[in-house]
Amino acid sequence: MKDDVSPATFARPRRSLFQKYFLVLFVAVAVPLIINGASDAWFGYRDQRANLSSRLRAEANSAADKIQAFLDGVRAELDWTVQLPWLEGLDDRHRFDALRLLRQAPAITEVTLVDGKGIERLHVSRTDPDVAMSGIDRSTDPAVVGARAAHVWFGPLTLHRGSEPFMIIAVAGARPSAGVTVAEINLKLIWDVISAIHIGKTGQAFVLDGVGRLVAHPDISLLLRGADNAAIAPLGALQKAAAAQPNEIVSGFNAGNRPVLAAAARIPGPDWTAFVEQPTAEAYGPIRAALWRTGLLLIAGSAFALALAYLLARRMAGPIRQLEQGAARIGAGRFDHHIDLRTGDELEGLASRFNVMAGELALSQERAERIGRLKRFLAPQIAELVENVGQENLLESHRTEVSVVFCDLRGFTAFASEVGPEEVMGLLGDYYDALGSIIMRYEATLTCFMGDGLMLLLNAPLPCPEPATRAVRMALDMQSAVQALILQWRKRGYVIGFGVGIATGTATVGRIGYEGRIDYTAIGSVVNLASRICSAAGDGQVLIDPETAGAATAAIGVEGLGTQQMKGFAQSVPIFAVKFATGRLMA
Amino acid sequence: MAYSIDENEVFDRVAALSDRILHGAKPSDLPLELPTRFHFSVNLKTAHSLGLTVPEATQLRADDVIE
Repeated sequence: MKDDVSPATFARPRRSLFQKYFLVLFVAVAVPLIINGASDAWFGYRDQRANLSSRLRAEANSAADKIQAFLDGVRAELDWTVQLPWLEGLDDRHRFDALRLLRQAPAITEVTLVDGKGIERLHVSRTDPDVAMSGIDRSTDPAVVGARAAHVWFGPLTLHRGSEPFMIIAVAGARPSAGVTVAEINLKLIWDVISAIHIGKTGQAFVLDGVGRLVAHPDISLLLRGADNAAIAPLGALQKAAAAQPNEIVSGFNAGNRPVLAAAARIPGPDWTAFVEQPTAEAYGPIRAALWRTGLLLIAGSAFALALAYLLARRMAGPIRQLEQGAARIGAGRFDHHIDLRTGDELEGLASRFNVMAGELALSQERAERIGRLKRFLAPQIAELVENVGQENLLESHRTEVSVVFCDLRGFTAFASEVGPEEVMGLLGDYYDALGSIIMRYEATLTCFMGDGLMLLLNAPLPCPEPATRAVRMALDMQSAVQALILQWRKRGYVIGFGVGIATGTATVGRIGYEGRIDYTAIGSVVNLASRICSAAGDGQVLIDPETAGAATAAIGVEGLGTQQMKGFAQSVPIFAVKFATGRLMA
Repeated sequence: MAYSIDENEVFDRVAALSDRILHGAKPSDLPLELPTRFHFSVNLKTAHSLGLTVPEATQLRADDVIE
């Protein structure tokens, strides 16, 4: 019996219960977590992006409004100069209006007043001397024509010396006789407006005109570099993208070639577009932070799920493994093993079932061992009987009436010394095969083998009816079986005979031997007598003593052979020979 | 009577441009900036003491009039 029974000696299952539980529990916790986290992240991203889009577009509209307000401010000042008609004596008033204009609107660098007929009446500049009544006909000037047609006219962006951005704004009065005021605006002044616009931390605004030239930018140097400025090329790309998707935010690069998100809003008067831009990294900062947060939560959640799954799986699989190991120990024969489970559920019930089963197995094994012991000298059916009845005390020593049967081969010793051992053992094998089935049939107790001889008991340890008759019948069967064998042996040239002796009487029966090797036998003169009678019997003879003869005559014919002197017996003993059913004595 | 550039604005721009140069911009890349704002002041006290009369149109254009 092994002390250490390892379950590993059995074919291990492909996947352990622990792994399955662990996997299932982990999936059960982690999958909803991941789905939840992923959907949160996705919808959060969409919301944030929508939020970003509406915020940037609102900022763009606000920037456009501020630029528009700047231009409207200039226009409102210009409106003052086209209220009075060009009548005689009002020239000074017009002059005051023009001077006041320069005073009020710093963005205006020069003003030209044109009368109702399109003749230039006054030119006032911050840098040049005033010119009055130059008489130049400006009636075909696009500014004058445009202002007359639409009240206000915004000129194109012009660059003085290829650098300083200027534009013309012309305003016509309500009455044609009030004429037209044409003012030149220094667009650098929009800087005050544009540089005050901040989008987020580092985002800014800028303005492009209809053909993609820079009108206003917080970095005034960009503005002053003029039209052929490579730095503003990405802004043109932004403008094209914004024109393609008017209500969307677009991504591109700013003048510093940094990736930005931008939104655009149109400034209707001069047909400009105000842009707001925010670096992509900054704009997506909250989204990225939210994603990080979700990711960290997912990792933490998964770690928690792992720990939970591990603990639960261990709690579920642990008792089962304990059961498995216990079953393995019991299977290996350690029936005293006790599976100690205190889970308070079905598993504990199963463990106690195992324990009960182990106890029953122990009993059953003990019984099997006892039967094995009995079978060594009892007929198997008797052994079973003894075991079932539980009367092991049948084997206790006591005196009883028994029939003792001795039988052996004649001339066997001489034969054995002449032929090889294989031949001897083969012959003995046939001989005992023939006898064994008969002994079992008659339920005789085999006490010992002595080479070619046997000693059998009847009526012990289990009593049987008419043991003497039974012994004689058995002896006759044995004779006929062995005689059949002897015929074959003779054909092979072996001269071997078979004799049987039977005596009936009281003997002491019981177990003799030492620990590990115990036999059941009978002791008494009847045993010696049977042995002597057997020695006296010739081939083919079954000799019996008077007791046996007396008991068996009713059933079997016997023939007295007179008295014989037996070794170890003071008086000579009458011997009888059993007649065979044919009525003839075998010679 | 004085007509000059706005020194505040000019020094503001000087500071901005210096900052960019100190931050590594090449001076050759920076465009020339012309002054935008001009300052016109008239000292009527001095004019009076000199016995001069400043026309109303001139006074109107002045950003600063010292009386």
